[in-house]
Amino acid sequence: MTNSIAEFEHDSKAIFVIGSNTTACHPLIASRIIQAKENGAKLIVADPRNIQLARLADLSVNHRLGSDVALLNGMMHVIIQNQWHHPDYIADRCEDFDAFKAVIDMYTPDRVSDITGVAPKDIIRMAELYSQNAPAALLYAMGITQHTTGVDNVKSCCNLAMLCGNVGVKGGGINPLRGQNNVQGACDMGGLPNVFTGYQPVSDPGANKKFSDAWGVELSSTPGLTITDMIEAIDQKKIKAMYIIGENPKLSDPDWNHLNHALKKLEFLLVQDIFLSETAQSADVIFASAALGERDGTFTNTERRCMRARKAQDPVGNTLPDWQIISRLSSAMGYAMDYDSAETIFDEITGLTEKSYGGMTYERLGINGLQWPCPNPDHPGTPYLHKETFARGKGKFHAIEYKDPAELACGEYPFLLTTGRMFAHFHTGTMTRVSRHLDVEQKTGYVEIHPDDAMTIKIKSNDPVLLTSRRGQMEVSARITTDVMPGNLFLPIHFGENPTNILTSSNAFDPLAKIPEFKVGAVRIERLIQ
Amino acid sequence: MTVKRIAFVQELLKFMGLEGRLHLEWISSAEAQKYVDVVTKFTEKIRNMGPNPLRAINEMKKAG
Amino acid sequence: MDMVKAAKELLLQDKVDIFLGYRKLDGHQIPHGFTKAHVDDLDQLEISLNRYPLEKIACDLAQKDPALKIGILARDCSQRALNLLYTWDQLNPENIETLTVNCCPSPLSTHGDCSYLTPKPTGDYKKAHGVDYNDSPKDFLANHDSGERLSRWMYEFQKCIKCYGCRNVCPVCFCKECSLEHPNLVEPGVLPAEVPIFHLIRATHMAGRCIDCGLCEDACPAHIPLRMLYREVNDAVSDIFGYVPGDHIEKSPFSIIGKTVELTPAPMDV
Ligand code: SF4
Ligand code: SF4
Ligand code: SF4
Repeated sequence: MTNSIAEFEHDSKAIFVIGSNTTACHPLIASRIIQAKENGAKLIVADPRNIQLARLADLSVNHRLGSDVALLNGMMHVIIQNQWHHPDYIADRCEDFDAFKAVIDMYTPDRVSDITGVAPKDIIRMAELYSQNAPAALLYAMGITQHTTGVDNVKSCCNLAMLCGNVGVKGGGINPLRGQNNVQGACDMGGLPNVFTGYQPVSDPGANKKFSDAWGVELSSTPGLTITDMIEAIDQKKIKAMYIIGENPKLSDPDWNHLNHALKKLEFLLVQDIFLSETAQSADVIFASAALGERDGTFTNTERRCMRARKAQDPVGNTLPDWQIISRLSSAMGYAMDYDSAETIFDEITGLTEKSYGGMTYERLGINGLQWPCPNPDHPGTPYLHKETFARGKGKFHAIEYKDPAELACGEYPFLLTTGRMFAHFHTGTMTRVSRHLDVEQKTGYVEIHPDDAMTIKIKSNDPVLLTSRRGQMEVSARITTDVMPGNLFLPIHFGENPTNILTSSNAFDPLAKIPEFKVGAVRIERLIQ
Repeated sequence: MTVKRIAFVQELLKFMGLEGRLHLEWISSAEAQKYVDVVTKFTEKIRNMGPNPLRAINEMKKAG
Repeated sequence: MDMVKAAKELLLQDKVDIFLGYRKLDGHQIPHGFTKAHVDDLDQLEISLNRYPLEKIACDLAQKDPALKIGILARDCSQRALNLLYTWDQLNPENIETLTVNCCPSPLSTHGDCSYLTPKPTGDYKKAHGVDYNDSPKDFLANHDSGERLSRWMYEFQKCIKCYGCRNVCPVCFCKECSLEHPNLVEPGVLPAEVPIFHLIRATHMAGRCIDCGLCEDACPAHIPLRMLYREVNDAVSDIFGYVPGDHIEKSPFSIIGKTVELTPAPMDV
């Protein structure tokens, strides 16, 4: 997030939520949005489904699955036509506006309406609400990123925010709501194939030398593989062993059949987790790790806030905190790691990640934490980014054309399937399905279908149906609801007995970010006679 | 106690704008005619009040 | 500070096995169970505006060990909650020692330590379409017709994200099996929590129980004026049953069945 969660409540005059079912997936951020709305801020919601937040919106639209670029371009078309944009801001702080405008000029409300299914008057109203109530915050989540055009979608969000001068101001910004409490932290720590901590490229000689010196070994300057590439590499026997920590790819990876096939080819699989996940069940060796509350450490959340997590009790049984397991394994393999606490590791991190974490210590983090960049011990942290300039200097407008999703509805597969979360469970359910109270809410998987479609295929609530995609087939029970549009289906991702990735594709992913298109796929749905 | 409990629920429903849809009447097994009268009168009343407003709210999945 | 001394005495003289209060952690106040083994921790005992349902923690502890003697830092609302928990046999008064803090102001003391002394501001949109936190139930009833009362409460309820925070924080929600989780009463697995039945069930359950601490309203991430709703519940209970929960340790009229009463059913108005 460029900005901070608290700003939505106190500073934003308009909040535009696209591709995020916020009340179900980010409830505490939804709490701020509700508060802002009740204090008078405008709320715009765009989502292919009728999400709960739409009930509170000044304007809510259901655009077609995968039509985000067109919708955003349409809004920007209206904004430019009506001179609602910020020419001074654009001239001072941005570049490449003309090429961008040439593309935007083509996206008239009528044309956009054809692509998105949103009425022209709603597109105009959205544009007005967003641009005429400054500062306006733009929030998005996986509904924007999990597409073949994920990067295009994100760039379009940035275009819109820059066009209205909303980047670098309190209460504005481009705010991706990250999918997990520490996914920001994991990326900050270099949990990506091409960077060290703080996004220092492994291929950068200076950075590479710095880390090589600090760790006393020569480090590779070639980026590693993304998870999408790893599966390919296993298939081709280029990868023989795998060490998976706190992840359950058997459910979270895009193509179940493909992945299982690949995992079988591994000579050795090591899984480290707090529970025996689906993936752990097929491991050769399992390391049981300590859970939250049993270990010290830090998280960095979606607003770049690094916070301490404190140990409240000793780990259960003979489990160990992850850092101790990794240290022991490393030592056993010949590279001694002898950290004496999580804090020592944090001090190493801050020492090597000067620009963003340099000024942080456990003591300074306290209860509330600090938001990076926090480069030195007197720096108060940074609630919002790009105040004077962008990281790269000028903010670049990207001219982006709408592209269809990889799969469209067709004769054989007439429905579009989208996947996501429901409020009671988290991800692959490893942590939530063991809770009695959450199990009461949702015991097993289901597929949401519109009442009209249910009538056509002659099913009642809870009837079993068969879903078929180009990848595979799955049996699941139907939930009939106007939460989905006619022609669309929704399948939650939490249930191992109904793994969504039997149906989703591993070939459809964003060419740059390699994020799979979990949000659109063509399927067929049939009634199963009982 | 029943009468107090019902009085309480009636009060609560009224507070939420759902009054008139709950009624309590003592009818013994010998009072067949009274039973018929009360049920008819209540059915009539509910019919005149129109459809349950909550259904509209639960189906209103969108504000805009 | 006298409170610290008193609490230390309770522990040192073995009058209690644990003392529930608050202490500071990195500038933030958290609930804490002080014990004899670490009696000096009591020097960090904090009294401020913040509140947690310490009585609820006491109930949990008592369930695990019914003989445990528990000391509690008690405000007025905690005292009412304790009375109610005694009435419902959730806690044994013989095992509880309280140290009272100055909270609700009275003619005798104008200062009080409670987050509720500054009223919660209600935004303009909420004032126009929802329910004002600070409205009195009587005024709300007088100022809005039936259709408007319905639409205002339904606006509030449809925001509910079913976090169960209101129940979980409530000192008097102590049921082992909660009706709100019963699939025949409230549809599971959907948001918002089924409107309005989820809230009606909880409201009726609060009849004769709610001690008006306001913690539920404080906890609610959807900003639903729950305290105001249960105030109406309390008004109705006091009008109809003549009972104020938590006032005394007495049998609740809600636990008595079959007593004769002088009240005739209201006539059907058509
Ligand atoms: S005010 Fe809320 S939390 Fe407190 S007793 Fe009443 S219902 Fe429970
Ligand atoms: S809501 Fe009702 S059933 Fe649930 S814990 Fe509270 S009083 Fe008990
Ligand atoms: S605390 Fe609020 S949002 Fe959570 S269940 Fe209760 S009423 Fe609903």
